[in-house]
Amino acid sequence: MPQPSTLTRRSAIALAAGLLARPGRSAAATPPEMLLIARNIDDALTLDPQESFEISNGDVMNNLYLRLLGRDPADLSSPVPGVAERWTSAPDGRSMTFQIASGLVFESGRPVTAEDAAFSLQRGILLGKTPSFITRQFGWTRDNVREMVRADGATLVLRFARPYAPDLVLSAMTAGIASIVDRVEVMAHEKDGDLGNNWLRTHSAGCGPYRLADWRPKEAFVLAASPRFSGPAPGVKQVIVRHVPDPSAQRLLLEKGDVDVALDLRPDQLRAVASNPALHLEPMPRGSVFYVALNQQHPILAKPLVWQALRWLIDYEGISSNLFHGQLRINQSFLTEGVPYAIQETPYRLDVAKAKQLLAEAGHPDGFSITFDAVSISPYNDLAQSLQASFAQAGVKLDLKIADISQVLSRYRQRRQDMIVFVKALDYNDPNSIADFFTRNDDDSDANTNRNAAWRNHWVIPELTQRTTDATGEQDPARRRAIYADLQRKVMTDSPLLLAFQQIDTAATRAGVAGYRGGLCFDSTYYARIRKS
Amino acid sequence: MSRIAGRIATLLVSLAGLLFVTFALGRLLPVDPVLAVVGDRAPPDLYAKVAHDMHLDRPIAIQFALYAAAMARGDFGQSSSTGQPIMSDIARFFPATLELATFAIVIGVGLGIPTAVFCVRHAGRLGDHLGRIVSLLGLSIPVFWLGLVGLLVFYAKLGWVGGPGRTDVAFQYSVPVVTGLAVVDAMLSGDWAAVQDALSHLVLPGGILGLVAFGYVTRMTRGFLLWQMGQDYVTVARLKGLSEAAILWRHALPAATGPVLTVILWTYAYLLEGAVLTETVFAWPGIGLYVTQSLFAGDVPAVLVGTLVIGAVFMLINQCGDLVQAALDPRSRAR
Repeated sequence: MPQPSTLTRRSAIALAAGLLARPGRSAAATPPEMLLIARNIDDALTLDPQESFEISNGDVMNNLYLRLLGRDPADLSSPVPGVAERWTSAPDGRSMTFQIASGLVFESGRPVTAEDAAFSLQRGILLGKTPSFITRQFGWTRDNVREMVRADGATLVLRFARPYAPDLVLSAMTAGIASIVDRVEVMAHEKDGDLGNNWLRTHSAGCGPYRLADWRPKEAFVLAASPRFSGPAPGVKQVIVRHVPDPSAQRLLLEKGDVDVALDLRPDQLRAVASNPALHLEPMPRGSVFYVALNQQHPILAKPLVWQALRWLIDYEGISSNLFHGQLRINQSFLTEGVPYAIQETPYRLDVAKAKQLLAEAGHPDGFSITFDAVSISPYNDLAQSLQASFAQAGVKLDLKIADISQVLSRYRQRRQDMIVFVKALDYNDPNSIADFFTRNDDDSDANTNRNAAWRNHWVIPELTQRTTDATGEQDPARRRAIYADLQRKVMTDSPLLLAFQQIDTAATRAGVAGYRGGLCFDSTYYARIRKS
Repeated sequence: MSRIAGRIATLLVSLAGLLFVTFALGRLLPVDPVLAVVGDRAPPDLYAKVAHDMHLDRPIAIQFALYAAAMARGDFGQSSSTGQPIMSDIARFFPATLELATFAIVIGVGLGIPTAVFCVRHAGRLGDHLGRIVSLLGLSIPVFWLGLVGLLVFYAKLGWVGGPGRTDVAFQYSVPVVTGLAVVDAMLSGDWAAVQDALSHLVLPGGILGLVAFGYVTRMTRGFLLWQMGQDYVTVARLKGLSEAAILWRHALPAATGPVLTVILWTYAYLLEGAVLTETVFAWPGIGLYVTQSLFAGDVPAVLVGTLVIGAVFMLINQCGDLVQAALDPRSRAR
């Protein structure tokens, strides 16, 4: 067998080296007109704005579409114009009129009309997908929505089954389901009466600053600046959200300059990169709250003295500062800072002696053993372990059942848990988004279809349920504020729902990236405001 | 001819068994599959409609019959975690794994067989021990750790290789997808920089998986060769004055081809299942990552079809191995 000559062998080595050598990699930077974001996007399912409700593509949706109303990340207190430029509320709270802005154009080139706005809101109800609970609360149904939501010239008129607080309606109109779609374009792709749902899952038809250039599930979203956008031109022409599931890989890509933004860095990684002058950390406080829930079906957990004792057994300070380095902020009411009518009171801290005394009064001087459900990813599993340690100081032994989120959620919705740590996200920036979850239980039987936290924990509260309903119809902001203050204090001090922390997401960006912000909701980043230098 | 028919029948029966097991596993999971589709806040009528569409309101035997019938029709359903037809997902994710596995097996065989021969040549001496230690490392170092350290050293510090992902973003949308294999597509596009980029992204994850393949191939081949070297025909060859190298390369290795080939094919099949950890660390959108993420998302249909495809690939490779072995070794034909 002839041996390869030295020359050929050398050429082969040189060729291989040439192939693999990457000159200039150390100076790698993404192109100035392109923003590259590393994120775990494996839950992205659909890009139809009247269907999408997944966290990882929420920001993408926020940039493909303008909603009826918008939010200014710099001032979250009240809605700003979106597709509607002005609005008035009827004195009886039973209807609201929106003036549609002139000069807006869809990516197809068609002008945005009040008919498009009416069609989009009707479409949310007619499709009846997950986010439709946000607009269904106004008494809109498949049968009546065409009557209740109507276009009248250049105005959009919304009517309600009963009076609603104007700020609740306005907030709901800033949610993703109020994204305005191009009626003609969408209906041109309708098949079997699906209102274009199947087509819109993988296409965009909005009037936002960007249009969808490409989406490969579990790979990447590619957004390109829409040439027809009527607002100020976006600072970056192209935004790519690339699927990078591993946080360590995200960190390497960011430090190397191969991405501009990393969104899933863990608290320890954020701490490690905080001193890197090439990077910037942008905290994004969310309206999401982490809570521990006690199932009232369990005889021990049904005792109000036990509720009290366990509140004094959470190491709020240790978890917030030492375990999560500020990624969880102490928050003991169900509304967080930034949500209207939030009260900023934190009366509880770790006090084992007080907890022991309360447990003794409840008839459990030596504590008790109980199962505790938690999801197998951070922060749930870390929270569960911290709670296990601090609860043990008063003899309360937690038997942790750590499982995947789909399993934990399935059990929770079937009310098979004793104790659990879970999260509630703010779906739209109104106190009702959260209150409806914690202080409403219309019917504690299995027939109830509103499976919120009160129901999942058998907390029977007819009076609070009525107050929660009253708050949604209250026209006077001062009285509405008073109701939510009461509800928050009631849950904070006298309920089996132990509110503990607010979620603080952090965007880690290259130092040259300016303007990456996030609001209280998961879908509140505006790419168009980002500038790269 | 009848032998090939028999093989096809065996394949079909195995596939039917696999179909049943995957279905049973899917139904045993303590997960509400409807939640995976509609989420936690879905209105009750939507929940009920999706449950009905998924036949969850029917008896389990009927569910299986409907499932098997759909599969037989070629209707593999839609993934609830990507919203796409599962087959188009698999067509997109499988080439990534194929590329990684093929690169790895070439490395594994290319280095493994010479190393095994070297070990046998120096059996019981220092060279043998070194070879065995290196191959043991390939088998025993956790790949996710090796992946992260590899990225840190060769990507972050030295800048020799590309980072996570199959290509740099600059090339991700300029190279048209033809085969789904990044390197091949880059070659077809005629863009030399794109070929270089795709290779630079492939070399680290492929090399790390290649180390695993190298470990298996080396250790198994060494064992087979040592057994051959104890045979009478080797003694005869030595008596005839053949050099040890000639005996090893020209007699012992060809005689061990059957079992070695089987090991190589099994290793290849194992790599084609998708290396979840490597694919996660390297953001490599392969079949292992797809099935695992679907599993965590409670996307039972995608897990079932993914498992079925992997199983089918495994069986096909197995059958190919049998056919090749029969062609090479007359003794196995009689069996």
